[in-house]
Amino acid sequence: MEEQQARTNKLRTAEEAIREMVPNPCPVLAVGGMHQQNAPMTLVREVIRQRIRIGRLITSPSASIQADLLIAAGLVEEIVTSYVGFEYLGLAPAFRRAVEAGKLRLVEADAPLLVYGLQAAAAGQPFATLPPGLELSDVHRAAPTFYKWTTDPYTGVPALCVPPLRPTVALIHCQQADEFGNAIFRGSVFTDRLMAMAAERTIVQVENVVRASSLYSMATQVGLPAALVAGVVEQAFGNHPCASHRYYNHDEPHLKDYVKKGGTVEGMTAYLQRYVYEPDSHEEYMLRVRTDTPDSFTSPSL
Amino acid sequence: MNQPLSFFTAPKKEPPFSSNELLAYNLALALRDGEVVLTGANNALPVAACRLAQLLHAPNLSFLGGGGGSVNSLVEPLVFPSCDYSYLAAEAVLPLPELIMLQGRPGFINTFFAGGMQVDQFGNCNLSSIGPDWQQPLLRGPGAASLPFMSRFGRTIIYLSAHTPRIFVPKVDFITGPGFLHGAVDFARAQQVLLADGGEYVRPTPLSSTGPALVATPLALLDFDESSKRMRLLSLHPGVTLAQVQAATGFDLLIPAAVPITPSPDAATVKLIRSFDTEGVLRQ
Repeated sequence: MEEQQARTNKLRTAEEAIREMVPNPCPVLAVGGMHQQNAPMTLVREVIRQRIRIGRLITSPSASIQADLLIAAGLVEEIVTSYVGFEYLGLAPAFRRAVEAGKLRLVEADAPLLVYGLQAAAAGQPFATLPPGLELSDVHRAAPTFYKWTTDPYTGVPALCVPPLRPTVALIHCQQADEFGNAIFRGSVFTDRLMAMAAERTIVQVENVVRASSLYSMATQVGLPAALVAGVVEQAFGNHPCASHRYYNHDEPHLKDYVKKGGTVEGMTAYLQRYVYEPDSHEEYMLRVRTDTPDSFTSPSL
Repeated sequence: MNQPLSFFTAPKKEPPFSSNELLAYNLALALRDGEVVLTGANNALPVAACRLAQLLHAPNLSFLGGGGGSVNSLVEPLVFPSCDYSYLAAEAVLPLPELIMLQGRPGFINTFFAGGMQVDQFGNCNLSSIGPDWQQPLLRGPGAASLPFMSRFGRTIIYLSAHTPRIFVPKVDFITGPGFLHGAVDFARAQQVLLADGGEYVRPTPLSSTGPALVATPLALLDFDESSKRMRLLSLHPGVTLAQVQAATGFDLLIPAAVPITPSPDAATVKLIRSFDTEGVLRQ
């Protein structure tokens, strides 16, 4: 009798996952999380460590350090986003500097371009149309390669459309997954599932891996099936300085420090050296964080 | 010591309410029972207004958190991050892609809270780029978020954490969120007519937004003249003079004959606010 094949184990270290699954240059990279929440920062730091050049970076409707740090590292040629900022902590330093200097091509998007564009890619649609009235914003005039007109075949009236947005790779955070890639969102999902459904390949960074057999009683909570996940990276506190819903809050002192340091090129270089290039492990990274901002960690109150 | 006697006898008195508590109260008064309200980034003040409105006169009001998709969050304590995990202690959660989809649904979002780096006399908001050339901004802002939907929401309330001539400009450099466009005539026409692809088309369904309704700043409340759609002073906050507001505004504000003082929240209302703003976010 033939030996039964074992199902593929998709667990990888961050280093392995990025090296094996992200081409360099990467034509289109999508990074999940929104504002300071649920961003797969261990994967982002590893992309920077491996100096992966990104042709087009796609973000959620509101990106923060997960986009700014990639821009700070000089790796992003073009960004498709509807917001990069630090919300109540201020403007995004690297994003702002790069766009003002003409060093970063910005596709000024609104949330519908991201959502309907990713949906169209996931659905195999040629394009998606937008509701009327949006054309009154200058956003659509600023990105004419993306926002185009077609004629509504039912009314004969023009409709604004967006093309499919298909990431080569999507990097997202789920709190848990099993070793085959069935991934569970324990908090907000934002546009992360959409990115995974649209992307050619998805790497999920999790807080902890659960045993596959434990998911049968909670399949309705499994947001992504294994068939849509190429790699699973387990890293506790891996989203730092962003939050992982249910597990830990964002690190406000560290983010404030980043925004401040990021205000100058020297400060940003120093930040990248200390927190991205030098630490050889996540533990080393966390040790530096704790040393530099001791009051970093708070737990969610929910 | 040469300290005056009053130094020892008069303890420093805390004001009865903060600037943001004053605004939360007045924004709550502007909200209506039964409406659906959308908040975006930096939403602590709008969320406080929604929660207070529910407690005061609008128990059927529903407010949506624009990032996490929460519907009627518990909001205790009020927090700064708009997508904080704690917002998920709510009545319901809408997945973000569906929330964005529903932003297009006619008549669903009645009131939207918007911010801006620049706001002009017709309530157009710029959150994208300051400078004459969008390609080479003097100041690059965070981006559009949901502002382009302003043309489809029922009405928009604009809230700003500062009131300066650099914010209040005669004409925004970039229209991220369309308000009354170039004024009443332009706005009325845009509701009926689509300008696209070099042509003009009668919209099969006219746009039904009533546009920006209110502007709230640390100095004043402002609204828009019904016929011209120009921004108009509605009330001055306690202690603020007309000259102050005019100097802080980079265009000619319409000034009514009598300008009231913005109503202050009474002690019971402040207590109500602080019952959910237990960390004092509105007092920072």
